[in-house]
Amino acid sequence: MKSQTNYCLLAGNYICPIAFPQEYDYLLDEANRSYTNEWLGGLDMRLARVGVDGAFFMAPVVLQPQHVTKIRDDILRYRDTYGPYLQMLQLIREGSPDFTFTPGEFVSLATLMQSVSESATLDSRLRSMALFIRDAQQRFNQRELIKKLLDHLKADGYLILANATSEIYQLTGKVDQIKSVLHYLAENSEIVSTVEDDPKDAASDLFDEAVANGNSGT
Amino acid sequence: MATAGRRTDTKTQVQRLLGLLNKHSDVVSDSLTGSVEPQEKAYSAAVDALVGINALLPLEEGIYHLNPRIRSYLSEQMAQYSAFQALTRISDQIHSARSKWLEMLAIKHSGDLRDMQVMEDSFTLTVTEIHHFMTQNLLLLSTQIATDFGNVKTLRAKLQQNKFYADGVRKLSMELEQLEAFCNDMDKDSLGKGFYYVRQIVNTRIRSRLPEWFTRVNDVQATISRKLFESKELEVDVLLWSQSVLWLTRNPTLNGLDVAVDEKCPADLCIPTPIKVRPQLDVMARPVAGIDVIAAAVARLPKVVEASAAPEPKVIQKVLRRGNSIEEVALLPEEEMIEDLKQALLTQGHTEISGLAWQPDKRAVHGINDESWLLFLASQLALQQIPFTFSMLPREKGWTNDRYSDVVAQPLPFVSELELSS
Repeated sequence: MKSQTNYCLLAGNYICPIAFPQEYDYLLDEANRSYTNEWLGGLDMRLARVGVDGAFFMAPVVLQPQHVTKIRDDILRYRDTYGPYLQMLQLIREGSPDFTFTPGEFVSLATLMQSVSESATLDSRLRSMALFIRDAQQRFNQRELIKKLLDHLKADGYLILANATSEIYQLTGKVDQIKSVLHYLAENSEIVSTVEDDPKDAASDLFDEAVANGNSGT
Repeated sequence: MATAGRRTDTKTQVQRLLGLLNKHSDVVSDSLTGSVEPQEKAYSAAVDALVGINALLPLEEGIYHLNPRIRSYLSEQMAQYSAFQALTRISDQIHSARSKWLEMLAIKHSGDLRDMQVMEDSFTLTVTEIHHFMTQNLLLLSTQIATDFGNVKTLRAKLQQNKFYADGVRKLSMELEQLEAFCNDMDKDSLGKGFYYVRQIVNTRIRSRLPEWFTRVNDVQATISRKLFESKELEVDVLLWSQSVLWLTRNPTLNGLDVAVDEKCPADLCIPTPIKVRPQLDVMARPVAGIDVIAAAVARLPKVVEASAAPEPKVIQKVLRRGNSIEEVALLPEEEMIEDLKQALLTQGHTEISGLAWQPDKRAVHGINDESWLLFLASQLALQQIPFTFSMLPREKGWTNDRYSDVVAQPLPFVSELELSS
């Protein structure tokens, strides 16, 4: 398990209880963590976690200028680095009820397909994503495109196939890395913000609006 | 000829306009997201050139904005819409198409068909406009509801926008019903009056697409209504996520953003770069566990292909000689002397011939000394089975071998010339 965990970290994986349960259990032990940290130290790396209790991953002991440059480049190429995952997972959120980007949440291909079939809007957005979904083509039907989308996310470590028979996927802890980036951008840029515009008032407006219309519009 | 000349003239003008827009595309791009002001010399020159063709229009003194028609075209192309961009109404087009249809009926009734083609062209254009506007309206709506907040930043603005678009979609839905009624009327009337071309245009460009348009408009209506109630429940992570997707949608021309990053930023931002590990086996150590790996590696090696000799270049075969002619080989001097000796033996009968005395001049000319000659002569006579004797010298003390002073060829009484030559 020791070498297996080390190999897993060296491969750049995020070790979470969903994607790598055995390695995660191994690293939960304090002694094992110390050993792994010491071993990674020989490579000028350390064992780090996303957030406080997120997935384990390999990080530099100290961020060197080249690491800072890489982080900056990743944000400069935000559309290419994070854009595809943001948009694909957003489509899953809109197509799967109660999906909140929390590791461990399940994504059912059938449910997602039903949502996309029922919504021309989701269908058109799915088709626009064929440009960056790996191995996807515009001529593919809905099911093929959704399958390719999920396969793309699976190959890049954001999903695992939890049940091959019923084609149910599960969100891994790697998604927390994107959320960390979003939180950092919320503090350091204007593209996202956690400050809402008085949602309480807005909610009452909504209610009034619905009552005034006497119809929710569906 | 006049039409051709006008067409060429138009072509040149279009090329000139597009060339200018292309040349100053950076200024056009800047003006798409706001107004532009002349800055340094080159930029000011570009602004002036674009003002000259009305691509930029003066807003205030020294401030210019993009021609709304160009902005509209670019926005359509890039699906980049302003937050409260109105849907294009199609009532006017439906009314116009209906009027033109009545006009066509009147022309046919009058019997003067000279203007019929012009009217048909105009009708076709109107039908095409209806199709285009509907497609663009649906694209606009899809974009506006693509993210939880559309392309506004706050929930309040989103609610206002939802209301705005809910009204718009309601009107669009009514207009679709008008359009459906118009198409049904046209379908019946045009068939009865013999306007097959008009019927085909309306059916293929509008009527066949009506079900899809109805579905999409209903879908948008349902989405807007549902999101009115869902959007207030967004968690922080989901909110950030939605805003981020919104930013990507709203800024199709931006690839990312320049954010200050230093060594103190969280390590979470640093995506780990995989370190490839490829253990190399020590083949000399003959590890038990690694034997299979080595065998597999050997099996994967490419097969040794013996380097075949380079093929000889093809040459055109020529016939150089026919028959089996024997090439005459010039004899060496010593061989000539042997031949002469044989002839002499045949011709001279029973006379024996001393080798040492045979053609001494010729040997002198060719630098053949006596010793070499006698040795060569003895071996040749033995090979050709010509009898000969050695003139032996008396034995002397100190010499182990017998010595001879001459080789004497014996006469050939029974050997024919034929046998000698073979």
